[in-house]
Amino acid sequence: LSIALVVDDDPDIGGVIVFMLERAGFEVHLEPDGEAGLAVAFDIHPDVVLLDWMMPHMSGVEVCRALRSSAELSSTAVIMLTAKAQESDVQQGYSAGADDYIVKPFSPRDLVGRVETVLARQR
Amino acid sequence: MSETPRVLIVDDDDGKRLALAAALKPLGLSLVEANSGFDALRQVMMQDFAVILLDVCMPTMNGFETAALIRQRTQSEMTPIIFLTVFEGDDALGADHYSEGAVDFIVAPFDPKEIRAKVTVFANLHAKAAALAAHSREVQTSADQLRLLTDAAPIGIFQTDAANRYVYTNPRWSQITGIAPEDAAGKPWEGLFGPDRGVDIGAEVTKGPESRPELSQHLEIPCHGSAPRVVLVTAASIPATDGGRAGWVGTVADVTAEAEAEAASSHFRAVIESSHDAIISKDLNEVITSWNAGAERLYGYTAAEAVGELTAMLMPPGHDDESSELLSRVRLGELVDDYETMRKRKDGQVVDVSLTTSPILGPQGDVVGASIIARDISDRRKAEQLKDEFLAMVSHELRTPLSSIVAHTELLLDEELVDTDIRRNFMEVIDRNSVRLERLVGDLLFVAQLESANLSLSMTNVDIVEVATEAVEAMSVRALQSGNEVRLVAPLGKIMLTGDPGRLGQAIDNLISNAIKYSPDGGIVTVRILPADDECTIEIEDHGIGIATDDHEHLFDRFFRGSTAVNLHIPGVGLGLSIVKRIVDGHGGRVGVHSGPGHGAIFTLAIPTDDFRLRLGLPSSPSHQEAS
Repeated sequence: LSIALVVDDDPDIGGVIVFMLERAGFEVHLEPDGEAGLAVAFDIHPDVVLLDWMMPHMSGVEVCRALRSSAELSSTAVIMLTAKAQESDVQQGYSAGADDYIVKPFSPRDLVGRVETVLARQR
Repeated sequence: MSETPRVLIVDDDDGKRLALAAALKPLGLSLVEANSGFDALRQVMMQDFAVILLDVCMPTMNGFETAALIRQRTQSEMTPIIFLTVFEGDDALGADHYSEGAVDFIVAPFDPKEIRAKVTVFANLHAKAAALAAHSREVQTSADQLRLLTDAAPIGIFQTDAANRYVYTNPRWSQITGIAPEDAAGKPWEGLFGPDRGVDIGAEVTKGPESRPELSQHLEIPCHGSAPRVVLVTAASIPATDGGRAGWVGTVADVTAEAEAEAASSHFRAVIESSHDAIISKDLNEVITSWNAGAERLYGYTAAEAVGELTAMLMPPGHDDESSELLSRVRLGELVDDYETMRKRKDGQVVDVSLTTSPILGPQGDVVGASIIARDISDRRKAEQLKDEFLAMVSHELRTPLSSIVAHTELLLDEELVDTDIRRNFMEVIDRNSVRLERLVGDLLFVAQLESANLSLSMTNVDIVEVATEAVEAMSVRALQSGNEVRLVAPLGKIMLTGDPGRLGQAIDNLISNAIKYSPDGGIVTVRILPADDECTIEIEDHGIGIATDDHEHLFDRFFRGSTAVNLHIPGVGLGLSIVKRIVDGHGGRVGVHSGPGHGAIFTLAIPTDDFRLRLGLPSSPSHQEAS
């Protein structure tokens, strides 16, 4: 059973992502801000982390960098899922170490496909 | 006059002439001999003699006849003549001949010593007279020369006497003043440019000499048929022997052109000085040569501190080569317009500036320096940055609810989803996010509308308690979702105001929404209604992150976002409070805030009551009004 960590401050969006991933067979954890998300990541060692960008306390990009620079979680799959849609944002997301970058609004079915692709690439 | 005095010896007797010449030789004088009266006249016509020794007894023309002829010539009428005679003791004869110019008689046989003594007296006398004449000629020459100088001098020259009356004016003086010399002569100085000429040189001239040894004054002289001339009068007091003043000697110069140039240049200086932009100039060695008040304001250095310094002092790190790069373009005669860069102030702060650099041309048309106009564009930069941030936030705020709507709609359309509870739940999400989207779009459209027109209010009688209650109820669901609780504290009964219920509701709504948003850890949001005589205050209190004191000033500005909120990545577009302020302003009310970081915030809206509106002269009956 793959473990997914979803970090999003919007409960509705977080909710739909959790719904989709659970239906696809993941064990899913949802956290409402970057700081809490990072702490939980070190607890549960997820297979994939889905990060919103603009969140209280710590942004998704900061969480991504923190994961990449840590010893234990540097190879965890990270997907940015954000409303920041400018090309420079996407660039910044990838250079922070994201494996995929999905712009909101997104298709839930498409999202599951992207998550599975990233995980398949990891293995 | 160093010429040796000449002595003329006139005698028909060769032996006597020889004897006389021999006797006079030791005196070292220049001796000229003549052997007859005619010969003597010829010599006298040719040259000037200190003394003539004239033999009385000569054939054809005797000595007296010769003397008479010599006397007739003006050139020689004063030349002393010593007669040589043999008539010893003939006094009557001697007396007679004194009247013909004889100064002395020598009776033969003469004593060489006596004749030497007598000739010496006349030779000395002649030398003195000649020196005197030469000196007098010299004086005359220098007087002539001086007059020539003053007449031809390219400056007006005048002299006055002890009573300040003109005693001399040169031609240029007349030319400049338009006053003929004969009109000036004898007239008092201070009166000449008197009231009828519109000029008063002032009392300076007539004051005691001790008060004023010199004066220098600009005067405007009316000129027939053209603009008045500006003249510079300078004068020095001529001291009198008694310690008083013997008069003035001075010059008058037409400085109209210089005065006009000076006026034009001071006009330009004033324009440059009063310019809001910084205007400075530098030479080709990057040395600052001028510095206006705008530059003082922009860069913080005074002109005294900056002029003579290198422009390098204005360069922030990494911009060191920029100035010489600009200069090399200007050197080619190029104008560099609106070059946006950064400069360092005296206090070390870096400012955003726009520079216009243009060449300064020397008299030969070559580039000798550069002038730089610098404009502070920090505000423009800041506005651009605010706009960028605003657009990013708007994008985020639109996309987030839209994402929920799109995602949940897609799932609802999925035929596999049959659980009615889940479907119901998803529809509520879509509904909630649609409302959120609608609010944001409403805010954006409202602000866009305010940009192009005044705020339009539909004024009516409003029960503010009812408006607040509705707003609190509408927000309760959202508050619960984020772990907050909204409470309303209001007096019993209605509180009637004149206002636009929709807009007042929007204002309270925005403030409750903010209170929830900025209380990320949950907590109670309290809405209080506090009626008073003049106004009714609506207070919205939270216990959230609070607002930095520095931010209070700009809190109600459009697009402004508090630093605490930005640092915590709390989304928002910076419109809510600006809208609240516009609405409250439109009701003639006031907004206020009390907050500190970490201590929550209390926002207050004070709306005038009907009584107070009446006193303010605002309409209290239901009406439609425009407020700016």
